[in-house]
Amino acid sequence: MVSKPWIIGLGSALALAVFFSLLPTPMDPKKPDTATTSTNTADPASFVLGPVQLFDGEAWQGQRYLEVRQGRINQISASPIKNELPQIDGEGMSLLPGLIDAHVHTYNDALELAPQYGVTTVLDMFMSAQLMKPLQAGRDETPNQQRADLYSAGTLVTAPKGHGTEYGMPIPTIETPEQANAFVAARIAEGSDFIKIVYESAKAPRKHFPSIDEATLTAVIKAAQQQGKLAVVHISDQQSALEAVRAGAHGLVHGFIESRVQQKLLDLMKAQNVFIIPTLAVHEAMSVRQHNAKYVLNRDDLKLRANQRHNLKQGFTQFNIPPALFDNLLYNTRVMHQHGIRILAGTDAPNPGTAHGISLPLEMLLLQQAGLSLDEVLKSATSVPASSFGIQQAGLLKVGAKADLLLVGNVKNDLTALFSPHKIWKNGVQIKPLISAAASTVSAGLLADFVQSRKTVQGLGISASSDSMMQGQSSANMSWIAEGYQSTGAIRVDGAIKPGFSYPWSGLTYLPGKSMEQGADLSAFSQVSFAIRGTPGSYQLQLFSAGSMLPVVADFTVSHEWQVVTMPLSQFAGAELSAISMLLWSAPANAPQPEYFLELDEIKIN
Amino acid sequence: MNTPNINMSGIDLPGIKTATLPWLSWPQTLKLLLMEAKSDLLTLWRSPGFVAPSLIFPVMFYLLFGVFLTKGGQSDYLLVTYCCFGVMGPALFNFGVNVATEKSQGWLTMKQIAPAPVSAYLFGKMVSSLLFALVIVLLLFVCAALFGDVRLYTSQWLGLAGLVLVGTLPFCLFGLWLGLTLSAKAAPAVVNLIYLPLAFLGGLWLPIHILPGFMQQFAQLLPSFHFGQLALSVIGRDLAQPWWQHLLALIVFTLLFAVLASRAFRQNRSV
Repeated sequence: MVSKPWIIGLGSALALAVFFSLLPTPMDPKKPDTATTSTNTADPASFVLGPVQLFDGEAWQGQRYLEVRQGRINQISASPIKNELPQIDGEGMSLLPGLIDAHVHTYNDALELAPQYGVTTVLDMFMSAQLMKPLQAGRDETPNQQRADLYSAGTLVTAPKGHGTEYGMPIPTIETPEQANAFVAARIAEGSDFIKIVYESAKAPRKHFPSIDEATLTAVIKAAQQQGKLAVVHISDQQSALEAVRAGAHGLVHGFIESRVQQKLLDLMKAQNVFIIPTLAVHEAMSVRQHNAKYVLNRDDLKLRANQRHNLKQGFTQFNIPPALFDNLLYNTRVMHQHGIRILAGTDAPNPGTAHGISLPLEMLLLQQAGLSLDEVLKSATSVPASSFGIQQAGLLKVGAKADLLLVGNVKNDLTALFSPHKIWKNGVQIKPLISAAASTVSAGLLADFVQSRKTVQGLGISASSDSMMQGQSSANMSWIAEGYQSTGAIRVDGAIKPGFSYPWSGLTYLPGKSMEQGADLSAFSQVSFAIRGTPGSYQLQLFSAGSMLPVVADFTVSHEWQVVTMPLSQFAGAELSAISMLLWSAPANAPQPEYFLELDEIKIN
Repeated sequence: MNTPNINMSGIDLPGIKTATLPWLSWPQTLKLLLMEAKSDLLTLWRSPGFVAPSLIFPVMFYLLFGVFLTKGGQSDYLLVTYCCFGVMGPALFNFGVNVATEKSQGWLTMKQIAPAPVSAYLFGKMVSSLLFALVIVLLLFVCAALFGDVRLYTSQWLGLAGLVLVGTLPFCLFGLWLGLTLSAKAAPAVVNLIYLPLAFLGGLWLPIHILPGFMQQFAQLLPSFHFGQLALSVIGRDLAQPWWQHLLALIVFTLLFAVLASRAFRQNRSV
C-alpha cells in the first residue's frame, strides 16, 4: 500500500519536473518587446562582438564572444551570444583592452588623438592643474566620449627654476623638506591622482636644471605615501634613480641612457617593488632617430595629423647624444625586466620625436626590441600600468569593466598590426576617425605687401609676438610705416630679446592660413622670400606646423639696407608643409644686443 | 531527563546523528522528522507576518528593479541575485526570529528536554525554510520567464534552483546562532538590520560591479557576496574571481556559523 506522504512526495516531484521543463530556454524566441528592443538598438554602446582572439590584459584567452551593454562588458563567453543586440564579427582578429600610455603630457588635442590608435587611457605626468579637473570627469562612468580617460599628476613637484618651470606656465615650487606635507596636500586638493617629482642628484654626471635635494625628495615621497598617493620620480641618470628608489619612490617615469644599470639599483628596485616607465621612444628620438621613419613616416596609409607627423620628425638635437648610448637604455630595460621589475609602456608625448596615440605602438615595438616577449609588451601597455597605478576601470577586459576595446589584425605574430587598428571603442562607443579640417590653400605670389596698412594679401594677418605671453622678459611692438621697399608701406617691429623664458623669442608672426588650427598648405611651393632691413645681425625664421608648438628654424642675416631674403622651404626639414600655421621672424636668443628693430615688406611664396 | 543522542562536542551539528537513534526504527524516524517538518510548516503558515513578506518582497523587488526599472536589460543577472536574496529570508527569519521567540516561550527548552531528539526540531525548521525558499525561487522563475524575458538552459534553471537551496545552509546556521543569542524582542529588528545590508552590500540588489570600488572590496567579507557570485557562475555572469574561491568562502562561513550556533546551543541548554 502506498502511504499518503509518498503520494505527496511523488506528486510534488512530478509537479516540479513539469515546472522546470516548461521554463523557457534560449531556443524559445524572445517575446517581441518593442520598448526593450528599440532602446537597446538605439544605444550605440551595446553590442555583441565575436568571435575574436581575446587578450584580456593578462593572457590570451582563446576565441571569445563579448557582450557590451551601456558601455560596459556584460558577458564574456566561449560560445556565441545570441540576443537582440547588433552583432559585430571579429573573425581572425585580436581583441585587446584599450591601451594605456603611462607617460604623456596633456594639452591641445592630446586626449582626442590618443584613442585614434587605441590609447583609451593616459597617465599624465604634468599638466596645468586648472585644465586637469574637467578632463578627469567621466572616467568612472561610461559617457559617450570620443576621447581618452585622463589620470594626472597635475602640477609636478620641482625646485625653483627646476625642470617643469621652463614652459612659461607659472607653477608652485618646493625648497625644503618641511614644506612637503602642505605641498603634497595642495596637489591632492587640486585633484592630482598621483604625485610626480622631478629629481636630479647632486652627484649626477650632467646637470640640467636646479633640483630639490635628497631630504626634500624623501619628505615628499613620505608625504605622498601618508596621504595615500603614489609617488613617481622623473630621473635622467643612474645615480638619481638610485637615490630616488632609496627615498622610497613607487616608480621611475624615465629610464636612463648614460650608463648600464648596476646590480645595486636592480636589487633595490626588486626589493622595493619599484616599477619603471623607460620611455624608449623619446630617448630614441634624442639619439638614434630612425625608429619613427622606419615604421610610420614612410607610410602613406596612416592618417596622421599634421602636428603628429611634425612631432614625429623632430628630435632633441640640442643634446647631441651619441646614438650608441641608446643601447644602454635597451640593455637596462631588458635586464630590469629579467629581474622581475615591472616595465610600463609610456611615450612622453608630445615631446620631440613623439606624438599622442601613434607613439605608444612605437614604444611597444622598442620594448619588444629591448627583449620583452610580445605578451609582456601587451601587458606593459594594459594590465601592468592599470594595476601599478591602481586604476580599476581600464587595462583588463572582465565582466563589469568599461568597454574600452582595441580590435586589430593578428597582433599575436606582429606588433605592427597596432599601426592600423581595425576598430576602437571607448566606453562601448566606436571611435570615429578625426577629420582634420583641410588646410587653407594659398596662391603663389604675394602674401603681404602692406601698401596701405598692416593688412595682408593672404592669410589671417601679421602681429608682434614675444615670450612675454609666457612670462618671459622679451618684448615686441609693431607699427605700420609709410616708407617701404620699392612701394609704399611696410611693417616695423621694435623689440628686445632677453633671457627669462626657456625659449626666448621676439619678433613678428604671420598666419598664412584661415585659422591657426588648420594652417595653410604650402607643400606646392619651394621657397619663401621677403624684403627686410633693420638692426644688423643674424635672425631666425621659424615655421610652425598646425597643432604643434615645436618650430623648425633657419637663419638669415639683416643689414641697414633693404634686401630680399629668399629661403628654400627645403631648409625647413621636418616641418609639415601641408599645414603650416605660423611663420615667426624672431631675434635669436643669443643676440649680442637685446634691443633691435626690423622692417618687413613684400612677403612672397613661390 | 536529557537527550543522550546528541553529540555536542566539536562542531558537529545537532541533527547529524538523527539516523542512528537507537530506539526508533527507520520508518519511525522518518515519521518523526515529517511530523516536525509539518508542525513547523504549520506554525509558519499560520503567521502571516512571516509568509507575506518573505514571499512578496523578493518578487516585488525583482519585478521592480529587475524587470520594469531596468527595462529587462539585466533581468537574468538580477533573477539570480534576487533568488539569493529571497532564499536568505526564510533561512535567517525562521531560524533567527522564530528560534528566539520559541526560546523565550520555553518551547526550545521543552524540545531540549523532550524524549524526541532536538535535532528533529532543527531538521523540521530546515525543511520548512527550504520549502519556503523553493516557493520563492519558483515564483521568481515564473516572473523572470513571463515578464523578464529570461531564457536559460534547463540545466541552468535546475542548477540555479539547486544551488540557491543548498546555499541557504550557512544562512540557516547564521540565523540559528542569532536566534539562540538574541532575545525575542530584539530578534526581528536585529535580523532585519543584518539581512537587508547583507543583501545590498553583497551585490544582491544592484549588480556588484556598479558599486564603488571600496564597496566591492568590502563585499569580499560577506557571505552574501560569495553566495551571489557562486549562483551567478551558473549563468556565466560572475566576476573574474574563480568560482571555487566563493565556494571555499561559503564553506568557511558555514563552519564558522556552525561553531557559533553549537556554542550558543550548549549555553542555552545549560541555563
